[in-house]
Amino acid sequence: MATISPLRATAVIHSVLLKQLISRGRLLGISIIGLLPILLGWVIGRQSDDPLEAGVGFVSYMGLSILIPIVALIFASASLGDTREDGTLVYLWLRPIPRWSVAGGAWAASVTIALPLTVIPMAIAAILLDAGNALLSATILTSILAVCAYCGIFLLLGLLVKNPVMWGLAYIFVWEATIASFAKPAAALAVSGYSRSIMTGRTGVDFDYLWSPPQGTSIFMLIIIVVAAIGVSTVRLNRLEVP
Amino acid sequence: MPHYLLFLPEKGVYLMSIPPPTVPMIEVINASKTFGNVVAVSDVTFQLGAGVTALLGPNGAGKSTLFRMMCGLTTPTTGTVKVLGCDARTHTPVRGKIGLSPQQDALFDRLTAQQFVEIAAKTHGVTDPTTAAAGALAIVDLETATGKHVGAFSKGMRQRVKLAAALVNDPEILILDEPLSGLDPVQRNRMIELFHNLGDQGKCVLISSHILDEVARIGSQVLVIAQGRLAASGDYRDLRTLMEDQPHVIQVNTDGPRELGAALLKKEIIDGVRIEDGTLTLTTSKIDSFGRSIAPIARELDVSLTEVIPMDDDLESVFRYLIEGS
Repeated sequence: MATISPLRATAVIHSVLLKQLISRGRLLGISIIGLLPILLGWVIGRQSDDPLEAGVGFVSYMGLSILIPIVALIFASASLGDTREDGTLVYLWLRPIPRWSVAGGAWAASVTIALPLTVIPMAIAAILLDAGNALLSATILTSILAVCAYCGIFLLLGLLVKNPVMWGLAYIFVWEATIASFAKPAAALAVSGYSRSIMTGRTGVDFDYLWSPPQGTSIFMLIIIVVAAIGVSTVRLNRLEVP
Repeated sequence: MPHYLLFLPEKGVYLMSIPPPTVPMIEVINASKTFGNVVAVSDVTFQLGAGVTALLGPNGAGKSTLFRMMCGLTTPTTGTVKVLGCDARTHTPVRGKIGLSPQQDALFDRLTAQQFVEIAAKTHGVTDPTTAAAGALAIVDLETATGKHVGAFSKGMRQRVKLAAALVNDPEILILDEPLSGLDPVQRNRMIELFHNLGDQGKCVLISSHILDEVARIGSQVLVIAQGRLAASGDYRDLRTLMEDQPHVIQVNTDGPRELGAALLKKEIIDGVRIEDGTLTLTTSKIDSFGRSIAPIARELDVSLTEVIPMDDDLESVFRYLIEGS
């Protein structure tokens, strides 16, 4: 019997879901939102006495806490969540391919779209902040890792709940932005805690965050989040009642 | 394939049954599926081998749930469902031998027909997916629409794209959920011919429908499901005979109901007659004879026939006969 390698299957799933996720409306809306950090970066860069410190604060809050999680939520929760809702999941599920290929392909598709829509505006904002290469490289690295981690979490969310966007917004604004600011255990379970610590670690700007693990630990944890999210999504796909 | 009739007087149920195939390709044993308090499928048992089988049942009877269990899309609450000896939910290779055309209309609307079928071919590991996809689309008469987005397709075209995707890996098992809905008569004939060809090639083709006449043309082998239960299985001709043994109720709109009713009774073509608001309602066990005689008798009596409507020649009445024995 003919078979397909798991990696090839992942690439096929990636290409299908990428086509499904890209819509003119979504891209246009998010591109317009992406203009906001560019504009703010330019304004802050012109007015700040310490552009590096202002830049780290701006990237941490505007990029890592708002823009990146929201864009990742929109695409990652839809990548498999929409197929589950509209009944097209059966065309991916009932195939002789491992489930992790489906989860991995969906994750890769959402990352493929979310990366340029977030990293490019944040990188432009970092350039306009005029704080040097340290801020720019930290912004790019941290944004990439944060996009990957958020896409993993929201991919899983799309398979777990019926209204993933509402649940995702609650996670971003209630858990990450509020609860994790006051409770250290909660901060340890928030992507933004790790991504901000990479940002401060690479730029040397010391913010008094409640949770600030070492840079290496943070990078490792974000990778673990991605692997765990794809793993749990695979388990979820195995147990799912496919419509 | 030999078949026989079984009468269960205590239940008033006729069961037409066939000996199990020597090599079952699909095996359903005491399978039930409940969703909360709703019983979708109840204690269903059957085995299928190569050939075309029609799964007949009204909407909501449990046909799609049964299909989903066969494909592993949902697990039976009790019992076992096996395809080629395996559980499709947990056994990855067996999924490569199943072609499913699901009931739902949703497709990847941003893909072209060629892309959609090619994806199916690729994920099945077909050696030359582009050629295979083009071939499958040609089989369903969509070779001229390969470059069009499936999102712009009519219901009939969407059905055929789903069918092409189900066929592209040349599966041993084809599970087709209402594949003829939305197709025009010419396409229906083409598809029914295709199903028979596939059955003759040794594939197990299982097709659901809620339209009795459609089932008559799909296959001689039928499974009848009603209210989640398997009401009958066997040869369609036996089912038809069973139906014909039951009195048929026919409504006739005419300008001479009394004369016509009396003449039909006198010739013993009908068993009973009722006239209500000028409408003639007849009961007959001789449906063929009635069909041949009604027009000549009306002409003899010089009465006009406006309408002749079979009141119970629908699927519901078949199920009523099968389940209630009424």
